[in-house]
Amino acid sequence: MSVKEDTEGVYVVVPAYNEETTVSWVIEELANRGYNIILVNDGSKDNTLKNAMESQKKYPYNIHIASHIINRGLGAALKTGMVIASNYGAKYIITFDSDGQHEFNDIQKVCKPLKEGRADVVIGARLFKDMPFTKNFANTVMNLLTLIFYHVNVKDSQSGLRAFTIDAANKLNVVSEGYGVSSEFIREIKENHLKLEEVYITTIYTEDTQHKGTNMWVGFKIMCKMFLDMFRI
Amino acid sequence: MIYLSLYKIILIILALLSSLFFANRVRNKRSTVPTLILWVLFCIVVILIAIFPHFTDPIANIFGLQRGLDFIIILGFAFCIFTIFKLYVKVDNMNQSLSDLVRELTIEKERNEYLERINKNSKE
Repeated sequence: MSVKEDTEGVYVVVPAYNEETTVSWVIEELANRGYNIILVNDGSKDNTLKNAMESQKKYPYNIHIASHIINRGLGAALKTGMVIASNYGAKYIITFDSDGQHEFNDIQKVCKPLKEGRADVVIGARLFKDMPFTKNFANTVMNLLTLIFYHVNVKDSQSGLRAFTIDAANKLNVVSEGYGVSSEFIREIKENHLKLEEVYITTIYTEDTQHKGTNMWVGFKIMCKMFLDMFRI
Repeated sequence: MIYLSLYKIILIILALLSSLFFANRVRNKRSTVPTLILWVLFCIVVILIAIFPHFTDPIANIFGLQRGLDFIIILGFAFCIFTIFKLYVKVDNMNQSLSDLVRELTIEKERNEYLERINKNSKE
């Protein structure tokens, strides 16, 4: 089976906020593999948009760029990307971080259960033992909070690599704009009775990726948000 | 004769100033008359309580408090908490609306740019 056949109907949503150093490399590598990419620039203040547009010139049919005029958070960026992918007629939607922390070959891994009809949603679970201590601790706490608030026990609730069938993606109703969206996806999966599968993926932790994602402070903010969302009017 | 201590004078001045502030807003069409009436009534209550604090004693007794002033302070705290909660909900809803607006604009713009690209490439 050729690479092109594998990527048919697969749209990769890549949210990006101030990722000028990695964004071109990530989207060009994805485009080179034949994927359709929806890059969502979430009001970046650096050259993320400019670099992405340069990449788009090389792959005009594969790379689509959507740009929020102001920063609205990871959740809003993912929602925008997923709606656009759906408008293009995507069969499968993958969410993929733009900081270069994911292994490109893992997309096939998370897509496989969807294509075989075993799952509606697949989460790429990172191995916590490979993470630096603070990230490991913060992610463990987030898993625990997801279990307490949403009663779902998952291996990695905060993973950025996820795969959805288009039907599953259209059913999800997430309201969080920031990092809290990751836990909300889990809640929605449960509430919509979607079949969830988790596959282990490789995580590449570099100097840049250390500063982003779920750390103690982000974890605390997500916890407050989860609590306040219980009283949402 | 009514004895006016400093805190009473400050309260009366603040109440009068806030009434004037809201009257000015109505004059500049930035607020409505019902809002002004509500604020003026609130300011009258504040002035009355400032001049005759003992008026609130019977109400305080109902709630198991001895002094009317304690009751006013507790009421003030409750009002502040309620206001914070209301503001949180309002800001949260506005935040959500802003995100929806930004997302709608982005989706529309991306679609137009894509069609433009396709047209340009087909002409070439």
